[in-house]
Amino acid sequence: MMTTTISNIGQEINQIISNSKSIPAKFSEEEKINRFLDGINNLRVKLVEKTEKIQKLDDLFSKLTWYDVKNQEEEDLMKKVISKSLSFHSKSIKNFVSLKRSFWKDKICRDEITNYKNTLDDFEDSIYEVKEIFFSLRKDSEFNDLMNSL
Amino acid sequence: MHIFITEEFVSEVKPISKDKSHSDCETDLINSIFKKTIDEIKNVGTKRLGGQADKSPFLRKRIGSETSGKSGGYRLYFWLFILDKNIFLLFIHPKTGRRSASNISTEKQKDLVKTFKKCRDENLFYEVELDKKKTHTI
Repeated sequence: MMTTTISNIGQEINQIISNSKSIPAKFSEEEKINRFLDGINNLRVKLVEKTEKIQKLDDLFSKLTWYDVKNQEEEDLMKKVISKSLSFHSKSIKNFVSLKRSFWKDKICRDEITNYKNTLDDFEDSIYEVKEIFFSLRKDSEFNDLMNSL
Repeated sequence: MHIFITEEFVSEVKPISKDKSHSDCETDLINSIFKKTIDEIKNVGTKRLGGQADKSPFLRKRIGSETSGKSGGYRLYFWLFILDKNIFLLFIHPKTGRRSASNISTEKQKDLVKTFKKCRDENLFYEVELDKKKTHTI
């Protein structure tokens, strides 16, 4: 009984040892290519998602203009939103610069990087337009008198 | 919905449409204004500069590559009024090219409101329609 048990356990140990292969310390060429392609796809997905987020922000800035600032609280909120958006834009531009530096020369995700930059440019335009609309144009008495006279 | 333009708008469109990168600006105008409802014009890439949102908004509209089918950086800007369900196109400028500008000044925008008022009071607007094929304005 004991021998059988030892024999069985021994066989099991042997089986595990013989079936156990060393983990290669290097990736095969195929694995390297697959990981590289997965990396590009992940980058592409992230760029598209970030671009869509910025487009959404741009739309929201357009929507803001359909409202009028009614009190000081709303005006302060607008200022905060504009300031935060300008910081976010500046951070995103730095991100764009490092992405371009890393991937442009290898022709990786060029279309997505370009779309990202164009969307950032639109967003920047929108931030300054909204600032001008709320804090210059709509505060200009001549403009308001003209609009009221229509 | 009727669409009206001013002398100034015509004098701006002509040189822009001669520019290589904006040679299709008439098509862009047709696709983004003439073939849209008032709500669509108001809701896509449009900011209200002033005026009552539901009655007489004074607007700045951006036409981008998603509308025009051009390359990513292509942008055209229109200044317009919507009044009594009619569209009044006042000014146009491209973002790129020789006639480009990043934005127009508060003073210029006030001038556009003055022009609108003058043209309305003195009946100086020109009505524009699409031709039978709906590919050009007349």
